[in-house]
Amino acid sequence: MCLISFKRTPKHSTWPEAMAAMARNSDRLAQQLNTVTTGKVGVLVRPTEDQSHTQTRAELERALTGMDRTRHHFNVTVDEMGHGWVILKGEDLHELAQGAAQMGDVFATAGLGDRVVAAVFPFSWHDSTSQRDRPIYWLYQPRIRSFTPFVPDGDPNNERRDHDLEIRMEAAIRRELPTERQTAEWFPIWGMPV
Amino acid sequence: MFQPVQFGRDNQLRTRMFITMLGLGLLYGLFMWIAWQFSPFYLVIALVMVIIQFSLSDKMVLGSMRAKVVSPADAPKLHRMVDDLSLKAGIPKPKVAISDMATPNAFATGRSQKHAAVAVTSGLLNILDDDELEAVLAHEISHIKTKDVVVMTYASFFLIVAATMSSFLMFSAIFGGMGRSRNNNAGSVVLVALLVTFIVRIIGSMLVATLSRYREFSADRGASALTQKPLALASALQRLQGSLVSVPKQDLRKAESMNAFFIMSAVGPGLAELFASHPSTAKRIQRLQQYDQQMAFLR
Repeated sequence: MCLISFKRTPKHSTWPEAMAAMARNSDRLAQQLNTVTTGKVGVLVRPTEDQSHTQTRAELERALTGMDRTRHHFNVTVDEMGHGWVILKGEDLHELAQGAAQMGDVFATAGLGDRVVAAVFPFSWHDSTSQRDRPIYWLYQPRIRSFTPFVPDGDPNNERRDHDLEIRMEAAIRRELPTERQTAEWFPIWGMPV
Repeated sequence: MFQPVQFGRDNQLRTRMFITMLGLGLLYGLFMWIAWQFSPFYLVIALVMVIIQFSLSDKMVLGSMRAKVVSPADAPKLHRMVDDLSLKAGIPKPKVAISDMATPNAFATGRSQKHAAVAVTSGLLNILDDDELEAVLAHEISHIKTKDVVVMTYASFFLIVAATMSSFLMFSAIFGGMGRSRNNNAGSVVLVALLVTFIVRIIGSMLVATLSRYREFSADRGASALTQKPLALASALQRLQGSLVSVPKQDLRKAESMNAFFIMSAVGPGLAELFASHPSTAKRIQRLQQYDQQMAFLR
């Protein structure tokens, strides 16, 4: 161990590596952390400055002609902030992560690679204390090449987060997934269509 | 027979602390030698003033934080936690004080374990749950167990001597007539001495801040050993820091459109961190998460 250098190299992964890690850990996420996929993954794409909602949707639809529609089921939507979402549906996390990996290739080929903001994996977590299912999100952010947790607390309209649970989830999965430990990067996304 | 909790050794942290203290020792030794050569009169006066100030420091700290010592009847939960933690740490029970300040914070003071006090603000009591409060108290008790207050007092002693001396020298430079040296070249002597005190203050401040940051990490580690709940301290720190700073409130979609934000984020914390007495909350939380993983492995 170096005596002078105080910083450690963070664990980062490219889009395909991150999606492969998510696919690989589907069992661990389900069995050990009690987090079950909702059967969807969302890929969030930033619009250009002068783009209307219709143009954003059309641009994404055009780019997605490269996707294999016989293997992947998805639909395109645009949220209130004008960002495009491609929502992929699948049987299990393995299939969803593979689909998201292919979508990354498709967007890169279409020249939209630098506008992909995140891949959002929604899960449901059973809270044994309160005996209720709670939503938990893992966001892969290509800018920092890492996953970050996002756990809303209570009514989403209040925009409150459960930081304690986010910390616990990140600590529990960091050996398997390339996660970002700097909490300053743990951005929320409110009102997601996934 | 009851055995106090051992904090375990973090050799990397101990080595860094040793190197920092060695650096401080060398710097202060050099400063004393130069100060004695150029202006022994001011050095002696500054030393006497700082010794008097330090001998009164215990009461001054509690007073400046508006903290009052409370009895077990006044604050039973707080006393119970301090009782338990000090027993586990193997130290005499410190005095317990509450400050009426709304800003959530806690601190330990005292020139020795026997004269130590742990104080919390009423703001802290309002926002933390029991586990988090216990974790914060454990952090302060770790400071007492490892004699951090004494170490930091000695580490900053000559820094305050240098600051006091530079005030005298400035006064002398402005009004003249004092501080004449053996070679009768008063102006240049005062200038050289001022320059030396200035350099000592800059480098000394950096080293003292570095040492202080290491002691904070060390107290976090101690608190984790005492409570076996590192994440409770992480959670308390998160709360104390406030969600605005440690976890962004801004939606990712808005943040993505602000390039300037990311430039700042990419550049890093900058010069201010060199003089910060505490490590960043993010770094402390990161380490606490590591301790939790290590403990989970041993459970």
